[in-house]
Amino acid sequence: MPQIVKNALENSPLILFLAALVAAPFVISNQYVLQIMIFIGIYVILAQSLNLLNGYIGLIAIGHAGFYGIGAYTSAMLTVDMGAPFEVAFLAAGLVAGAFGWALGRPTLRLEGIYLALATLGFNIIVWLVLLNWNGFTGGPLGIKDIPRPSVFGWEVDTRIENYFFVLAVVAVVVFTMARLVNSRFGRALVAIREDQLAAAAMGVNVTRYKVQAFVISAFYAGIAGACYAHSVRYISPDSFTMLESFILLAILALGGSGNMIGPIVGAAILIAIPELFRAVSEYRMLLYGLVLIIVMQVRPQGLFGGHHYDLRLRLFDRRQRKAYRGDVFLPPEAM
Amino acid sequence: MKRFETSSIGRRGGLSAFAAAVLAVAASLAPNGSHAQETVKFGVSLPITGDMAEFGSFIRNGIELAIDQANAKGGLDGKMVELVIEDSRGDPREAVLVAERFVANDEILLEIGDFTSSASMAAAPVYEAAGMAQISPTASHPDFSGLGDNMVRVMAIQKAESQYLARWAVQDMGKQKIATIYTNDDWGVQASASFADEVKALGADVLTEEGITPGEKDFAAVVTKIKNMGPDAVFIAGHSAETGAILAQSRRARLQTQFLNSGAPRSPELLELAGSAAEGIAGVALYFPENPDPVSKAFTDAYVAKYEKTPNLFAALGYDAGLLALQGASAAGGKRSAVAPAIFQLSDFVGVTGGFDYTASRDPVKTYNRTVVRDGEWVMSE
Repeated sequence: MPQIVKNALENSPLILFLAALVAAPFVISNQYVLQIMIFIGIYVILAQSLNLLNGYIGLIAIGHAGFYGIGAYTSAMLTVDMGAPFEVAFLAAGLVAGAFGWALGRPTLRLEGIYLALATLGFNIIVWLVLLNWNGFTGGPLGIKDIPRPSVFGWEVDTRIENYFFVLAVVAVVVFTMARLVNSRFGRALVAIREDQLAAAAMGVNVTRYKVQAFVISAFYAGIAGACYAHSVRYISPDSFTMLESFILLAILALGGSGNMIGPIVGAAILIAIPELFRAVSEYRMLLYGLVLIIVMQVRPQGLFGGHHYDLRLRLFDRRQRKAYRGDVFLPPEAM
Repeated sequence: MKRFETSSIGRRGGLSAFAAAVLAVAASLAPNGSHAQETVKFGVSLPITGDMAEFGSFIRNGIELAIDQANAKGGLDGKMVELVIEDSRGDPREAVLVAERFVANDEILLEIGDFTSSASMAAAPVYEAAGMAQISPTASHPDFSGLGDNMVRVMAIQKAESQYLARWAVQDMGKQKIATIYTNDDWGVQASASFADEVKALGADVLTEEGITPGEKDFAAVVTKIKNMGPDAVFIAGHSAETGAILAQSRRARLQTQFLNSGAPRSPELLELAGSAAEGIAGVALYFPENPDPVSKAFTDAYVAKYEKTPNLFAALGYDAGLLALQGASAAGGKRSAVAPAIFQLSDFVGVTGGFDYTASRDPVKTYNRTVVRDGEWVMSE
């Protein structure tokens, strides 16, 4: 069998899945379902972003909605208040969030475990309070309205279907770059730090530098997710960036499983869809939401896809590297 | 190596299974065909679970009462009105999804909700694009009614209430040095700013405007700061919990002055929380259960008969939203896009929280009743 056919066959699940996502809006005419899928996409970006920290390098960050909010406000304020083009604002959302990630990461990443968790939680609360109280700058509790729809190099993203494709494209880029990143030398260094920080340092891995870099990259992606949210919903207020959002992200990783590429995607899809699927039981739907989490934690404490390395089958792009991690670092944790 | 291969096969199957699951879920969410229309459906988007569920349940009761009464009288032009109630948790993201759900359902004529301004405003573009009337009982954001041609406000705008209180304090009570404390949300910011502007316009002094974070419990710092400024009146824009705590802590700090309140109209919770510290506080009410006005009294009696508890302002606003929806729907003749224009043609809408002429403005201004606390009870002020 020729190699290219083999590759195509091996990647067929991924290709089929992508094809299904592209075809979905033409099959599903219901705008409500499309909107759910748009939100799932945004949470996939956020979960992938948090996964880099919580899953790959083993930092416990629990204030990710802070970066999400910074991204959303950056993009909204640049387009609404200063009339910046969407492309610039969108990128700036990631860059500004990344800059805050650096500013937070530099002093706090020498902290471990619960201390770092508290620092990130505090950061989330500070961001929320600033958004809420700095009335002259952020609009305070009144929020920002009339945020323009995305317009990417002449493509006016006006309809829901276009918005869906826009978010799908961003998700695809984020997931692809993230997969490449964690499969690289950089990604292996992160996992080495996660497994044993001292051993990694002894091998010449600059632990603090890698931590700060991972933090900045993660914040960048969260900022991008914020921009996607702001321009999809077109009205933002501090309500959307509270600790509750950070906890939803943690729940997504706990449910889907962290430390691999598939877990965050599945987790986001399930946790965002569940409250909508259970609408029939109105008052009890959040109860069922909690029940699902408890059951999964009982049956699979590592999360649905946790404990294994699922790589989105990017073999097509780099066979050599894949071979490298197949052999050593990426064995499932319980095998070590 | 063996292990990896095994998991590789499992993974391939898992991914396809997941793709299938996504499509199955999507299919199950699609509308299941429409059947003959003997009923008219109103969508209701409110916090039914979560932190704001209490407010949501009062509003929901008010709406249901209005609809039940209409159905008992033969419905809307012979058709029964049915409510489709969806939970938004007051969360903007969920309110958007609820909006999409309503808009996608051809049977739903109009929408009532949401409770918070931020949830209502996040959902507004969806309703506007679909030409569906969005009747919010409680959205107080100054820009809500201007977001489109289909946004209908039921609550009187806060500005009018704050200005009324400011005139009461300065002109009738003769207060000259006034401080304000407000909860830092979209409503509180407006309430305090409008109050302060009116006080200044009347020639009195505003000593300070102090924001407090919603949900906070300890206000000692703010109270002490204000006490040192020696105000002769303090305006509190806050709901029962915050206002009650501020009053109790002011008593402890020996801050004795005239308090005025907006946001906890005739609230029994406030009396419970503040105890004797609530004595003398002044506030205005759009709705109060003892109002002898026939419209208001009929609502109160019907509500008590149905739910066996006393209604509050939120229930009254829900009821008014229901009335407004019924009148709009009746005039629109079953056409979605005609509902909001029909409501804006109502020149003499009469509700429990007061009448309003929607042809003059989309931001209702209503008449207020002055109330104060005397001997541990809210009474009408002369």
